[in-house]
Amino acid sequence: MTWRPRRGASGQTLTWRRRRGAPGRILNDLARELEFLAAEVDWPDTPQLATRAAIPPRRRRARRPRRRVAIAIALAALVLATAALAATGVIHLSSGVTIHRVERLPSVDPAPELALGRPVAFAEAQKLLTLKLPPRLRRPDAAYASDVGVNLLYLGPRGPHAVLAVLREDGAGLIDKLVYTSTRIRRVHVEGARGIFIAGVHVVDFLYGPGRRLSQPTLLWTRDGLTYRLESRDALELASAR
Amino acid sequence: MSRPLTSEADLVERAQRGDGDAYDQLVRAHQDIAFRTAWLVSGSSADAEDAAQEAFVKGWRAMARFRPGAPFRPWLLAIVANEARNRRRSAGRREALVLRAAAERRPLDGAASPLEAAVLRSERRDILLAALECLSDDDRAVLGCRHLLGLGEEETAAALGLRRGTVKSRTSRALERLRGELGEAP
Repeated sequence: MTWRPRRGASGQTLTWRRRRGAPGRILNDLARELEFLAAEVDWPDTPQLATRAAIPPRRRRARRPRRRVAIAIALAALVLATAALAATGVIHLSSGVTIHRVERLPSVDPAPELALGRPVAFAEAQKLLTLKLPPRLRRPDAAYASDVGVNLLYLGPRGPHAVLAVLREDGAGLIDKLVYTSTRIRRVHVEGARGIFIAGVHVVDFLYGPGRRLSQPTLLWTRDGLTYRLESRDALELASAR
Repeated sequence: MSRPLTSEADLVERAQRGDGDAYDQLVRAHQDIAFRTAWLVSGSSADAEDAAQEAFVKGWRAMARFRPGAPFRPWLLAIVANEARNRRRSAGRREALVLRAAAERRPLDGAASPLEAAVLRSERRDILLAALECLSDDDRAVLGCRHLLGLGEEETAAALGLRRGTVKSRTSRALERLRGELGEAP
């Protein structure tokens, strides 16, 4: 039988003239129809995606100590294709944090330093800044102090899980984010403070020194003159952001 | 004398030794189908891009665990589809399958096709797509992988995290439901 569409009173309908034949054969015909259809589907263009990494993959038996900070940014070891930066939009979280929407990410250092600062006790970090941390972030595994703030490191079962940077706003630029135009950016609230969540991989540029590297999804929020930057795939859950 | 083409096995071996160029070649060969798989599963171009990007990075980090001799594409698609599932948006925000505008105007049988036949075939494609959109995410994903992307049962099973037998039965049931959406169910 033919595939003849029937028109109803309201225009196009999903009612078809029933075909006769064995059910298996009908399903095979339908599968073949789908295969023909594949050539006509308007698939979205494949974007330019980074694939090449500069750090060799980890070997199972040569696992490094859990606290090696370098593992936390294995993601940052990618080398993205060198390309012109074409800004197509700018979002400001505060005077110190700017997010640039770009068509392509710039090339980044293939072996960046995380540059967290000097190791300090968490109690000392708390003395340096008046921290207001979400409940799940109140017990970091390591703390570091830098010229502009503190960095708190959180470990998971398989290594570093999140890095929370708490930075003083001094009117100058602190962080630029370079984000693909297609990456989702959401406005969120972290315990009443306004924030932004960048859902995908992007480039972060720490203007106060460390420079550019690739970043995992990141949650940013400001509170009492401090900027909080939480880098983790589970940032929303860890900070109870809504 | 022409240089022999590098086999996938060679590239895998080099990538497992830490050769980023080899991994790059491996992934580039499959990135279109990887992205489309992510798009079918997540229902969004933005999510598919994020998923594919994350998956490529994860794949690189996991190369040491890749079993030498196994086909690379199903392994990569499994990672991509897993990332895409984690990003799947609500059904209401799903991007619909659409036909290329040019294809809608082009008679399938060439210039000699009667206009009426071309119009009917164009309508048929529209209706088939509309019916696909009425299916559940799982049904659409399995039919999309098997019949739109042309993945084999093994690859579909790897991509969707199912057993091969489950792919077979789910495909059959999804086709039945598609048939129902088309008003053809017995």
